[in-house]
This record gives sequence, structure tokens and C-alpha cells, in this order.
Amino acid sequence: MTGPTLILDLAGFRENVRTLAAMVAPARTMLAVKADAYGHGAAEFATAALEGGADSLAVLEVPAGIRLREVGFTVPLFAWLHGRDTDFAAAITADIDLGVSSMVELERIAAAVRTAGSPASVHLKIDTGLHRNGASPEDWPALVSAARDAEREGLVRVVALWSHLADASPADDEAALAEFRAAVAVAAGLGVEPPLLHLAASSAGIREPEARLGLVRFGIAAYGISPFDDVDGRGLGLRPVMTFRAPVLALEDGVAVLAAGSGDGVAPVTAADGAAVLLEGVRRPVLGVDVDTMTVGVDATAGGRVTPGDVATVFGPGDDGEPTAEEWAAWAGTIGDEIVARASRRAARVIRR
Amino acid sequence: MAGIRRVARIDLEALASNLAGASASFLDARADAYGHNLALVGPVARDAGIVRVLVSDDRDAALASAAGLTPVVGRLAPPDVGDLAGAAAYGLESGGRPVMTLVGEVIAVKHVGAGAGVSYGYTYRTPAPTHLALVGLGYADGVPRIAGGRAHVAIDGRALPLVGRIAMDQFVVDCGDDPVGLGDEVALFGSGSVVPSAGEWAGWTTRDALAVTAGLGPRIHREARA
Repeated sequence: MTGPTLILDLAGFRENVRTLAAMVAPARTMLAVKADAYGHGAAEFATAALEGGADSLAVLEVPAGIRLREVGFTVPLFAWLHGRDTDFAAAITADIDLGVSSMVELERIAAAVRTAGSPASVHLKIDTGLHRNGASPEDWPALVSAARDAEREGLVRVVALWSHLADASPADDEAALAEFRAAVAVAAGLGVEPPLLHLAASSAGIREPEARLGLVRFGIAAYGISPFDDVDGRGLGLRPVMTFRAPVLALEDGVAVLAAGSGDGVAPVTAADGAAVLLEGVRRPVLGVDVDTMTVGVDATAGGRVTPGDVATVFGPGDDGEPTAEEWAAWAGTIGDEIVARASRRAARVIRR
Repeated sequence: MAGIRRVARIDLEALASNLAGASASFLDARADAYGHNLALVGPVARDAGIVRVLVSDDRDAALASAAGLTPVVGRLAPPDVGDLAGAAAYGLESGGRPVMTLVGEVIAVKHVGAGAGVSYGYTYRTPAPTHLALVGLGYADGVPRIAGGRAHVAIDGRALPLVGRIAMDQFVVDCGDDPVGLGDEVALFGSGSVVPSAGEWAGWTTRDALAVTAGLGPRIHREARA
């Protein structure tokens, strides 16, 4: 072993999905497997998500959805971030549900329907304050009306109305929920009343039952990382899924060199920020992070015997005292999502089923 | 399969020029040439007089061999590296020509009033009515999340601030009174008018420039600059 290894607890992930799906039922669970399942591997984790009780998958963008279709996934797939070159005809042919935020997108999809030969299933998005995509409230009636007309022409099926929360504060999310309900009412007034409404992701799915509506789009919580800053994944009864390990390549003068670095996604932080790894039963301070390696202090007085070939746990579920991805996130001034999503594509992968 | 554009353009002329200036025969090409794509970099390095390359693993060793270079495989640099060309070769030191230009695209534009919260946690609120552009790159692509509120990007020759929190797949730029166009190219770092350097990103994200380029993710398509 000359490089890092990711150990992926697929069984734990499946259990997390089961826990979350049960929590929000009768609302349905859509599982986010975007960004290669947050760095965990889309196809494997999509399968486990469905086994755990999700009934649909959020893929972010059309090409990611098509890749899942190509390997045999038949469940509803949802893509909502589109570029100038996004191939909507291919999306429609692959039966991928499309998020629609603007008239431009709706028109492009309607044009693609004429190529694809079958109607597109669309989820109309209202911006409830996050100010990323989603139609602004002033543009919403026109978008809804155009979608209704396109539906009457047989070009689209409006299957859902949706939005995304900012998780800024309970009050802000409550205001966003009110805006969402207002947008739903506007749509109803225009004759558009699709069977599905969805708003919540992990955060509101867990803590704001009134936001669960018809479906919750769970993401990070299913990977065992908390969406909150006042409790970690384990505190929510979830199993952190990813373990990142790296062998000792060299040992000299109380410094061990580990085979993992920034090129593997290790955050560039040191013991001055709190950073440590678990090596031979002891948390060792991180001295530096280079592209392919990191150095840790192995002071003899700290206990444990370290020899080249020993394997350090950079982060994991925390069972044996190793840091969690969430601890690394705190040291690096970020969130656990970034720590796992950036984990190396060149690491060896071991999947625990 | 066409989707959201996320491209690292590799300027092979700049690489050749940097290597000519460095007069080294040994290139540090760990981590897939620090994210620059060894398959693109290798042949140009060989033509510029590079003989040996330091690579991280067997996959990259094979790429180096295919380019006619002698790979030295190992995460630990051997003690006898001598004149090893590194950051300077990639134009990541002052005076060098940047080899990589990272670009994304504007995937949404909207007008908002003053006081609009932007992205998770509403860490940024618009000081005045403005246009917000959504860009399809995020921390899953290796754009460090801590750059939110610190970095700027270039769109159509304008330097514009990256505002609010960077998300996994997207970030927001405050464009002011003049909107940008849907589909416009957004340059994060590299060459071009008012385009920041990877070194500036290094400063915004407390890491070195090689870590910025080496950290870019697999959704970013590497292509030779035309």
C-alpha cells in the first residue's frame, strides 16, 4: 500500500437512508448522489440509497443522470442545474426529470421535446430567498403560465413545484416556507396544481417537519455528516460513511510521513488549527500537508509504537478515537461536505457492504 | 455528453516557454502534473528538454513513459532530485506564464433588490439593487469553500466579487448594475484580462498555488488551449 485508501461503509449508508426515510415518512425520500455521491461513488451509493428506502435520485445535471440510466437505474432521476450546452433532448429520451428555473430553460426544453418526441417531466422552481437559481417571485406567474400552456400542448408535464432553503436560521427558513406556499397558491390560481411539492434537504428534513411536504431531498445526512453546527452526525444517530486511511512511508526524527496530501483532498491545515490523525492508537499532530504527503509528529512520549507501513486514519466514524470528517471541517473552517466531496479519486477504495 | 461547462485550459505554449526558461531536465509532475493533466503536459515537457518526471503513482508513470519520459514513481521525492522544475514550470511563480486557466459558465442571472441574502446562511446581503450570476463550479470541483466572500473572478473582462458561501456545485457573483450574459465564460484564475492568478487564490484559501491546481476535481475537463 503506497497511497491512501477510502473505506466506504455502504451498509452504514443504507442504514442512514433507512433512518432518514422513516423519519420523514409519509413524505418520500429522494437521495442526492450528485458530485459522484459526494465523492463516495455514484452507482454504488445510488443502489444502496434505493435499498435503504429512497425512491428517487437527485443527480444535479443531465450527464450524471444519463450515466446512471446507462448502468441500469430505472427510478426517477432529477437534474436541475443546466448549462448552455446541456442536451435536453438526451435528458428527455433518458426520462430524466428536469428542474426549470426560467423561461429560457422552459423554451429550450420545449424545443428539445420536438426532437426527442416525448414530453418532458418538469419541476418548476421558485426562488424563496437563496438567490441561486429558481424563478424570482415577479417572474413566477409568467413561468407557471408558460409551463401550463406547454403542458396543454403536450410538450411538458409539470410534475412538481419546488425550492431550496438557505438554512440561515429557523426564522429565515420559515419565511422561505411561507414564500413557497405563496408561490404554490399563485400556481394554483393559474391552474397548475402538480401532485408533488418539495422544499427540504437534510437540514429541514430533520428539523422542520412542516417543510417535508411530499418529498425530502436528503444529501449530506445520509453520508453520516450533520447539516447542523450544534450536533455531529453521530449525535443525530447517523453513521459516518467514509474512512480515509494512509500508510506511513517514512519515519525519521520523530516525524512520520504519510502517503496522503492535498492532491488527495487533505485540507491544508496543521496542528496549529487542531489537525491530527490517529496512528497506532494515539492522535498525532499534523505538522504539514504537501501535495502527495503529510507529516505528523510521533513523539515517543505520546505512546504507541510507529513503524513504516503502519496505517494512519486521517478521518473516520470516530469509533477508535480517530478524527471525524466534521472535526477536519472545523479545523479547516469548512463543512464536512467539502472534506468528503474532495476526497481523492486516486485513492484505493474498499466498499463494506 | 454536453453539460455544464467546467474547463481547465492548458496553455502548452506557456508550459514550453516556462520550461525553456528553467533549463531543468527533471519535472515535478506529481498529482497528475498538479492537476494540469500529465497526458497533455508530458509530450510538451519532453520536447522542451525534460528527461525525467517525478510522478505519484503507476498510472501517471505509464502516461510519462508513453510520452517518452523516464518516470520516477513515488510520493516521496528522492533525495537526489537536483534541478527539479516545479511551480515555475506551471507558471505559478511570479514572472511565469500561467499554464492553466480555470473557467466555468454563467448558468443563471437574476436581478435582486437591496438586502437580498445570497446562498447558504445568507452570509452576504446585497448592499444595493444588483444582478447576481450563478456559476456552475463548487467545492466538489476543488474551488475551496473558504474562498466565498474573498475571491473575485473575471467575466467578460470585468473583475467581479464571488459572494456568499460557495456550495458543492455552484457559487454566486455580484455583477452590479450591468448584468452578464447567460452562458458567459467565467475565469477563476489563469491568463486573461483581470483574471486572478492561482497565487491569489492560494492567498484567499491559505494553501499554496500548486495545491489549488492539484485539488481540482474530476468534473473539470482538461483541454489544450486552442
